[in-house]
Amino acid sequence: MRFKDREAEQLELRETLGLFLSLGAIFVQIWVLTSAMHSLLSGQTEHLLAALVLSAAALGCCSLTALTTMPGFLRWLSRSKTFHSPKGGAHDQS
Amino acid sequence: MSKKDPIKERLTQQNQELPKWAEDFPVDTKADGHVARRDFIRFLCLVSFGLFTGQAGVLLKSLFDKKYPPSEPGAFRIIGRDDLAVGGSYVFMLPEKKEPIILIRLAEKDYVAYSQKCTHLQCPVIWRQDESKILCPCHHGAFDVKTGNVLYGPPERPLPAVKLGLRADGIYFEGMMSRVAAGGPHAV
Repeated sequence: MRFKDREAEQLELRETLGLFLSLGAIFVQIWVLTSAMHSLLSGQTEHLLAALVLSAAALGCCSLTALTTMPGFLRWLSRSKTFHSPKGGAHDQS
Repeated sequence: MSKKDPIKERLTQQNQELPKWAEDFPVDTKADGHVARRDFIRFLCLVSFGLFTGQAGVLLKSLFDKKYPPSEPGAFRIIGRDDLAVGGSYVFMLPEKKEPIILIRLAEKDYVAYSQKCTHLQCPVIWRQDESKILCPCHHGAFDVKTGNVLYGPPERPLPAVKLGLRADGIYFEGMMSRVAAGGPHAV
């Protein structure tokens, strides 16, 4: 596979995927919230904690997507994965 | 992304200074797509946080209602014995709980009262004398007038019944019943 601009196209792909992931997570959150409100009104409050956990997972998904599409965060991540030895040159910590 | 700015590059080659407008609008058309997408993802993150807060609010409300249930009002007179015709109904509010109650006179000396909130989605129920049922007009649920049990429709639980007291000067509210007796919550 050939790229015109590998870095830019990969970033675009990552952002588009993240966008769909975030939209899906929000769809789930809206569904869970409306179900929880329905349950609260009809007096069935057994699964509200599970609903909150699911909502937190969706929020985590959105936050992670937002973080990984931040150029600054990616730079910080790539810096923390490598270190420069005294002799020069970057080495992977793993 | 470490892309070079084409405007800056061209101006550097021509030994010219960066114009003011390029400082004010530093994002070129190509990169603008990325910026908008990233901004939208951040906005989605904010929306997600709002929904999570709402979800937490629902859970907190449920816990609060369980821990601090509204206090039960003491006995009070609802209506005079002959103020309500046979087959008629009367709606009143519980003073402290602010809950509507429907009082129905079934026979000369037979009264029943239930919470007016449908156990499905809290819609106010109405008494239908011609069908001898308590109906919920929102989702067409029906309750038995003698016991408060569900006859049909989406509700799954019976209507909370009210304990009534028949005294010489009228009908009295004496509290909510936790469990309805087999014969129903009749005050005869």
